[in-house]
Amino acid sequence: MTTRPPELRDFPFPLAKEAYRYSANLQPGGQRQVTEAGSWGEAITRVGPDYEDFIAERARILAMDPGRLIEVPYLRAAEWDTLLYLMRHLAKEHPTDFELTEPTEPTEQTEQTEQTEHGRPQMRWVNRRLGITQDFTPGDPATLPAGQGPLEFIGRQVVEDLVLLDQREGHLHADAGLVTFASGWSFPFVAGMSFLAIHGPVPRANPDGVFHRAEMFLMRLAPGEAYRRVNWTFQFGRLLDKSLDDTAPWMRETERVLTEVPESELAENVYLRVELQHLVRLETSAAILFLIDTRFLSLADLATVPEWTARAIAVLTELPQDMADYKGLADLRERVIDCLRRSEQAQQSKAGNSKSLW
Amino acid sequence: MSALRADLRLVVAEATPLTDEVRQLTLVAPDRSRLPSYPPGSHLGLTWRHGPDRVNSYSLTGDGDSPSDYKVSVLRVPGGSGGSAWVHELKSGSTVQAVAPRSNFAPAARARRHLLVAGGIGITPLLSHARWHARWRHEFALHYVHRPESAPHLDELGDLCGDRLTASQDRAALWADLGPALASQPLGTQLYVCGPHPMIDAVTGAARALHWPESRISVEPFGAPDEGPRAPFRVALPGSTVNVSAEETLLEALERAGLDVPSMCRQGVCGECRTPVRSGRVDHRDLVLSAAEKASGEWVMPCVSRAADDELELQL
Repeated sequence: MTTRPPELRDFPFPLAKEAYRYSANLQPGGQRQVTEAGSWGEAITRVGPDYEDFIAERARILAMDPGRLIEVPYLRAAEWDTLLYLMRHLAKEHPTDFELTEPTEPTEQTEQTEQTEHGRPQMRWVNRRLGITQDFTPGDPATLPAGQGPLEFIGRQVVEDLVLLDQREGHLHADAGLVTFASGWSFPFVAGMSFLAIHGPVPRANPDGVFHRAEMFLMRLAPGEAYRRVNWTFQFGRLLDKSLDDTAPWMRETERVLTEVPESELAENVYLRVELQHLVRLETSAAILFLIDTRFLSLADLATVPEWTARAIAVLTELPQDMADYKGLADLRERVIDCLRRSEQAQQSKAGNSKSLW
Repeated sequence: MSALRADLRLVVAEATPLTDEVRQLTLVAPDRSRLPSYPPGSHLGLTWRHGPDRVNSYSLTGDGDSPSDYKVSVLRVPGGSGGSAWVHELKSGSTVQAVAPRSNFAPAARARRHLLVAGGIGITPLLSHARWHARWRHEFALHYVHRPESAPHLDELGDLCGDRLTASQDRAALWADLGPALASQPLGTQLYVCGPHPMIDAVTGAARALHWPESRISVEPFGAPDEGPRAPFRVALPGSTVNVSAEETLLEALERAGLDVPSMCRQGVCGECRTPVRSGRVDHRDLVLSAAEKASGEWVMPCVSRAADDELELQL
């Protein structure tokens, strides 16, 4: 077996069966999932070689459109929970890049160290990838860089989009967050909506009550528990920001690929876009944190794994039209199938050739 | 820091009488490390008997943020099933098995003001709430009614709440303060009530009579949400029979018997383990099947549901 590049080895390939329908496909977070190309899933946070690119792209989008960050006063505690949750996971999952120093023996600390005004001991956060060292006191925004709340401070240091859901009146509501890499939706538009209202447009999901069940499930999560699911689509080019807030750039990119890229290079310019989503019941505020990590895999890379190619072709061929439309695949489906078929044949003939050489 | 909360082993660091009948346990991790955080109003399950396990849930009284210990205050219930008596006999240094904190009585984040009403030992989750509101400087008030000879946590509450605490020693005194308070709360106030059932009914009834919206009234349900009793039963499969004990789920029993049943959430939600039933009545405990599907008796979600009778026959 050939050695595969790392971005393929840890890619969360989403298609496990020959056909796809929406389901409450939630499973416990933090578990290793084996694929035909490797494995993924042990970490909640992702810090890859492209970390700095994601961070820079997020900063660029926020500078252009500050409305992608939504903070609300009543989720203050949840925003601090988010900051601590992500810092603790970053430090544990990527210890060479991140470090969080917090009092390990709070009982003794409270007696010996000076308490801050907010009654919490100070912590130190170090992000070596971005050269950040910050001493701060949970709950006290004055200890963060000027003008930044906890959600923005940590949101600018992770590749994941963040949404905070408040549970009230028996339902979840997406009230706050930092979303710069939305695919086919607008966070400023849905902010404040209920979980069910947000998912209203999804075809074939409501008769079965998928989202109702998913919401019930999320509301029953125990403090600190994390579950995950994957979502997917295909797109022309590899723009992260495919939000409805700024459609011109990705329409231009689609146009470019369609008109300027020769068919022989299409496989390098069309991508499977996968969202690895984690849903976390935050520990002290009881809000739900929704994390979305966006990954890309070109058709060229996808086609190097025969099982993935076969399943992608089968799923796309079978996918009902309304679902294909919802995923934005109307212009793409046939092209992706053709492209994968050609790659599949090329791989097979290559395999055939190499066999004959031996 | 795993993604799912497992059971905890805790050590009793201190066991302190608060009143003649209320005992406070301070529980710590065996290595004294930080314990998992929890939302205010959460409860901790303590396994007071093993095989079959019996678990009692007690409200945690801290604010829940990065705790170094868990504190619970337990009222001795004479003639109870034995859990509170067990707590009252625990010695400092004993090891106990605990179910990690669960939350179903958290403060409403969007409320502009929080009105807390506690009766007797019902003070415990609201002490946790009061600590949280004091920490985040939320507007709140606490009405605490207790018997003259037994007022757990009263001194502590005085320090914490100052003039936001109204303590009373009988029903008349409570209503003298609470009646006008219920009638004069600003819009956006959330009411929380925890105490004996008659008190909960009286307070929520008064609030409803004053047209408090249902969504603005939070009541601490007595005891933890329970999946219901688990009795052993038999499962007939084509060619074999599997015994399901009271300690395991149907899904676990099928897996133990070497059957490969697809599963995912294992909590009756995702629908992955849906299994056809050939005969026998099902005690449905899932959120997946519709009322009609449940009534049809054709399906079971083995991760949470069980046999209603002694035997269930499955088609696998």
